[in-house]
Amino acid sequence: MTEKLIISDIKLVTKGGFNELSANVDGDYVYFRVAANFELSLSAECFVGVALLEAMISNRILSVEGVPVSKKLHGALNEIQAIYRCWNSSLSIVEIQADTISDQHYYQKTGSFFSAGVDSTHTLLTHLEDITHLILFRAFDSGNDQASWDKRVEKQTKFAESIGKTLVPVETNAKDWAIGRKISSHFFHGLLLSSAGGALGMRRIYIPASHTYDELFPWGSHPLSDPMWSTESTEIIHADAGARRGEKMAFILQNPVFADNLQVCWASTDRNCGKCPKCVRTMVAVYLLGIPINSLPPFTDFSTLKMLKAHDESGATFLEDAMLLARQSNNIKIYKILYRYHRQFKLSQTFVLVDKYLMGSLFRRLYRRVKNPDWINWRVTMQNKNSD
Amino acid sequence: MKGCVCISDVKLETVDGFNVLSALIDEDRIYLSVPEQFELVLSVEYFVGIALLEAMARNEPIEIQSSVPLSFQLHEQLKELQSIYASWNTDLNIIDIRAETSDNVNNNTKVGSFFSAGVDSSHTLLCHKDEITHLLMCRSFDQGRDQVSWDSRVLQQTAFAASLGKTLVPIETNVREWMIKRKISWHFGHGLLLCSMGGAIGMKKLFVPSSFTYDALFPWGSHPLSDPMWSTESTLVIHHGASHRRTEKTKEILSDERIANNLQVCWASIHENCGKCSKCIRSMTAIYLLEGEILSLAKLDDIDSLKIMRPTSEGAADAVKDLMILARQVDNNEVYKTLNRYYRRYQISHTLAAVDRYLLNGLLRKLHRKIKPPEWVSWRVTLRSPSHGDI
Repeated sequence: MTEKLIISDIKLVTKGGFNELSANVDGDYVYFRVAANFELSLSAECFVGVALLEAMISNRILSVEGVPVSKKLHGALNEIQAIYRCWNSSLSIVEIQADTISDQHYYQKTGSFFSAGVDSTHTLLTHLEDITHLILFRAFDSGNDQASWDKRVEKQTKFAESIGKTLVPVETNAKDWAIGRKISSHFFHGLLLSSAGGALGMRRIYIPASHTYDELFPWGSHPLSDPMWSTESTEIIHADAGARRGEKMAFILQNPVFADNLQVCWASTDRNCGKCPKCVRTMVAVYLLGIPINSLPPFTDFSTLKMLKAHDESGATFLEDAMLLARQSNNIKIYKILYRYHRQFKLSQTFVLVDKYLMGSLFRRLYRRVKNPDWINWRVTMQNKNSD
Repeated sequence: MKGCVCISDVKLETVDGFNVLSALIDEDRIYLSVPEQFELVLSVEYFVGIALLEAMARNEPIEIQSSVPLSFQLHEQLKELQSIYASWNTDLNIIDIRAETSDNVNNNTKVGSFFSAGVDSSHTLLCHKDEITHLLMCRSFDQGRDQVSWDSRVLQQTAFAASLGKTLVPIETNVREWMIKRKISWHFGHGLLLCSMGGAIGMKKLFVPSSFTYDALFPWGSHPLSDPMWSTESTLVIHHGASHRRTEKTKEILSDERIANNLQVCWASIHENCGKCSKCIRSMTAIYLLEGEILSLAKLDDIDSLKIMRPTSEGAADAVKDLMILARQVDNNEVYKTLNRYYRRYQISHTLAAVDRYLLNGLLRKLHRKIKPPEWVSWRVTLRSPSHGDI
């Protein structure tokens, strides 16, 4: 008998000043929590998003009890899983057992996931008239201490109000749940975002693109898969994959109120340290575009450019963006430095190929033995761990 | 040049036993024709699909000078569609489409699927057999030009379609010649042509069988991202089959004898399979590994014939990899090892190209292009700009 991964005990309660949607997901308590003045809808889809990769890696039927699942989404889940399985063939396509419902809720709100980073700020600007709510998830790019989170919420609430929008801070333990199950957050984050819309009562949700249409490598949030999480009531839009990051920055810099609110930092959630790779790459873009902003220190130290060195495909896209911008701005000095880093990355990629096809992956095996990289121990990664 | 790519004189007429939808794109008459027992719908979306890459290359708007309105839904999507294409080929520009629009819904009832009788289209037919009413066969694709071959093929496939309770719609168009004249890559243009055609042939739903899988998503004219965006209020376009590798499709096809025995995959001929070209061999190998037998293809009896599949492109390498996966699944070491040799050679040449690029500054590539300039260098519109990757 095939085992089941069961989602049960889905409930909506108000406690301690919060509205909380929770469920028992495979024996664990998983929740989504917003302040009591925001509504949540009793729905199952977000828990399907949470549980799907676990079900696929453990090849178990995903069973949802008590609350029906959107019929439209249920119908799409086979194809969604097919995409994920194409990316990582260790995953199995599993049956989703659930009552389904095709009723449409006439939600009024249009949300956009918002971290105040470049991508989400650009999407906000591009769809300013349509968006009513900015959704700030605690689980992503954020420090975990309560003081930082409170400060961030306070700051972004003010910002949202200043432009006539409402900030919806969302706390969840879903990411911790996934990490505990050794599911890569590169993969998981996409499902979490895409499936949360109905619970938040949104008729439309924008998910700001991290990469362009030219960078279609497997990634949790992807223009192919994100819209497939739409339901009868909530349209999911993977937004602005047609714009490169340099173009996004240029657009943001024309709008000082938004530019001065940029929050990109890895090290902090309520200010930009000016030292981490994310800060540096944004500072470089601002410098090349020639329009200073208040939210980031000016770029002055060329030695920090080494922060833009790429270690993977995703990192390479940021480096390439910066190079393009440097070339467009005729900044030869920066271009040459970044070009060197780009070549180093490409050489390392070339070496990987040489190792694989001429040396029988000898160095790869040695590297794994010596370094024992963290991702080796993950159960679900973006692609197969052994790509032979 | 007028400063725009103009679509004008859109008309529907019956000529010599054919219904013909045509328009002028700039000064060239482009047509789509079907035998007169099939209806066409007076519409412009098809011509927008044809003209779009030309307009993007010239950085000029498309202007529809006709009272025939463009689908409002498609008009709204065209900017994002162009974003995709311009991301792939940065030499392309995003342009305006100036047209009257309408959100009227035509009461189309037919469900069509493009059909060449190859593996991809046969698989889509198999999966949606209950729903598909019409099989759409375009002359411009994988087809020989001579009338006798075409007629023979139409006859054959009409009988096949009828045996399944479907209707074959043979479609002729001069778009390919127009694109060749304008130096627009067919790898790119064919996708727009297929996806924009649905309304003209009165389809409620249009399946476009996929050529590649979700993990092989390189720029290609027909793509799971862009194809559905060509949908209108009246026609839903569905890119189907990207979840399955070609060998998986073949396996499923073998479960239906009628569809399997109708497979037509050949490069060299359009109404029979030669059993010698790379497409034939690739399908024969899959069937051999699956221990199947079909009437339309000879049995693979010589492992040596696999050498014709030696890949020289990403798509071809992908096909070999697919067969290797199948060979491993069925424990056929002989086929696996043979294909693995070819696959590794391709990957090694790919690796050497990277070594040339990043250690020798592309010296060997420059030399090669000087001695043997590849054909695509002279094209105006290709899937990637010639400077792609040169940052």
